[in-house]
Amino acid sequence: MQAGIDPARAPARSPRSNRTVVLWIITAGALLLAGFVGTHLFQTLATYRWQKTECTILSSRITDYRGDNRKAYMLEVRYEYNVGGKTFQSTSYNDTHGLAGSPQNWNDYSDAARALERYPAGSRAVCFVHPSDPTRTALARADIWVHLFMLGLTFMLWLMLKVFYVPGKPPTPECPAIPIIRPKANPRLKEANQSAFVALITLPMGLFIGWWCIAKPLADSRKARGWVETPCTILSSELRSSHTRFGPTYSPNILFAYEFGGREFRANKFEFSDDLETKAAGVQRTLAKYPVAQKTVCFVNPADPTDAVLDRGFKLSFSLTILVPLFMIFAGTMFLGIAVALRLGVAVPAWLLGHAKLEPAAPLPHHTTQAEAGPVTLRAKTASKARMLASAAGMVICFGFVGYMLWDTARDWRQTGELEFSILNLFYTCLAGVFGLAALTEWWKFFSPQPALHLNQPTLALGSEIDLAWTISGNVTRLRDVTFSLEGREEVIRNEEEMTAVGRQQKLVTLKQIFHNQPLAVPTEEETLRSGTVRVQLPTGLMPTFDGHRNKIIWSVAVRGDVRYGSKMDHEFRLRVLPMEA
Amino acid sequence: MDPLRIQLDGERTCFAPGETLKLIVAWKLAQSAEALELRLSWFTQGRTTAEMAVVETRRIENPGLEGQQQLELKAPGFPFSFRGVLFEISWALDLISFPSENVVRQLIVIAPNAKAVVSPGALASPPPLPRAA
Repeated sequence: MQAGIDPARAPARSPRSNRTVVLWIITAGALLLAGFVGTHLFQTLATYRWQKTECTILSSRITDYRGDNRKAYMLEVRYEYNVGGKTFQSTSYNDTHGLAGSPQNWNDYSDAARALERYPAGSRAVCFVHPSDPTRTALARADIWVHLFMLGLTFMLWLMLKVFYVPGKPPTPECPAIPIIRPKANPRLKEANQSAFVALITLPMGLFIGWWCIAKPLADSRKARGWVETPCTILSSELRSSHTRFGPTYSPNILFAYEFGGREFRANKFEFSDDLETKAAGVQRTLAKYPVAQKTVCFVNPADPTDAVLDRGFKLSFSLTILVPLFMIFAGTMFLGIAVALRLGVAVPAWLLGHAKLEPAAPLPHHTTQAEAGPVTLRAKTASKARMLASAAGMVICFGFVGYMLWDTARDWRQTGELEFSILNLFYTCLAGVFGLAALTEWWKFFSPQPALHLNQPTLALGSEIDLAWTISGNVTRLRDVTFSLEGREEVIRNEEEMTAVGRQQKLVTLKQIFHNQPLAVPTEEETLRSGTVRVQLPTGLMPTFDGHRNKIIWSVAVRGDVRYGSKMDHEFRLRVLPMEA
Repeated sequence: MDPLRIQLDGERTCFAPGETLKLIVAWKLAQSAEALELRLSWFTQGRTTAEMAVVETRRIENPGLEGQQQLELKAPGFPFSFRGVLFEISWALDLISFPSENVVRQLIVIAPNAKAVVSPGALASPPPLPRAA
């Protein structure tokens, strides 16, 4: 069977439809942002045409920079230059008309020290002077990559908003007037493309963040094994905090001085990973180990003595900077795998695609109207050992994290007298609770009564008479109000789109319409309920089983009842019902 | 005369599975076609994406500008023409000219006793969607 048809041409849409309006708003916002970035990019590029002029560095030193609610370091430099026979003086390191609009500053003292190395007092250097305004100068020109990155990010943002928030095109008629000309392309390709799109966003982003937060610090740490152990003195030791929309984050800012090759240097790199703590107590423990004036050792890069670190080890932690990239890489790889599998025609579990199973479960009955021979036993879909074990494993892992965090919180409380909880605590506790509940529910199902049906043949013809045997395993005494019924129903699976908090969500909705409901005379006493046989007369004049992709006629025996101390028993045993025998 | 025409023997449009469909296809084209194709297919209509399958195809190569041909097809055993509350299954004969892809359609019924199977609930409700032309 072919999967679909080319729909008829969609009716012309109003140009003022919701879709168009939302698309215009998003595009206008993106253009505004791109215009802002583009303007600054243009200004930055303009500095590349400024006149190169020789200048003399009069003085230079590193000073504290306090802006954006954080402490950093900047280069305070004064230089003199000559334009048109007139001498000017400036303190501008970079042109502050750029994107950030703030003077160049560095979190890492070593970066500032390297800049200082380039401009020692009394040296000659090249500066860049505005051609028509000689008071505007810069020692260094801003990088254009940040602008290009911002433009790329703006485009990605626009694309994501378009995909997730712009309503889809109005649905094409589901009942075209002349529907059959050419079969539609493989519908799996659409899902493959959607998966590839998600992978295209998450995988590179996860790899980039992972490289920055995990791989680079690890590589730096390995490289630092060859650095020279050097005595150093702590000059300042303070908590550096920054406030994000998810709450404050903390990191240590320990400035230390050391001597290398007969010269004194300063640096403030504590370790290679920029691990941002969500609790101040953890950072304060670190700071307590490095009080001001304490003599300790640091590790100095012999190739560049401005580069030094206090702790050259690499520690894996449960922090977001580790978990987020790992999760993104995992999700990206999974979506990439799904996309490739769908392209190659490899079966992908429906639950992984996040929708109901669309493929027909059994060979389509269109090809045969002949009954098949041989007895068959139909078992209810019940508890799964794999599901229970997976849930239990998830619960143990999450409770492991929760336990570690509680221990960490208790340690902080003993130290500071304050109780600090991070959002991660709450997240892992909730996750552990969900896993635990799932495992418990699955485990409890093993003790619920489980019915099974036994038929003389796997296919039945309309109008025929069959003996339906059943058995119920488990504790039958817990069962109440058990009913058996033969049901025939229409079922269609349709796409529905709804706007949620996280954007547009396509979901598959199953509609059901029962057209035949025939109660079966099954005894309800405990003694006879465990097993028995009932004679069933299948009706005539109705539609046999039809197992289309999205349109189905389903025949089944439904077994329903109440279970004491358990969830309701509601099992469906599907039958393959064929046309009436001639 | 229509450029493409399907004429069923005795104007019958309802058949039981296994019956022989006798028909004449006739054509009078403004431009010569590479081929004409008669397709016997079923399709669904209703509250979700339509599905279809071409069950049998007869091809007439280089038909010329005008002509007619008598054909016989066997009505397949399944699926039956069906009218339900959520969807319908219909059978159709399509005569298509290539490469222009002009098409003419003749709807037929294939079901036991040459009567479409109607779901009990559908008797009291309107069709899932307007019927095909």
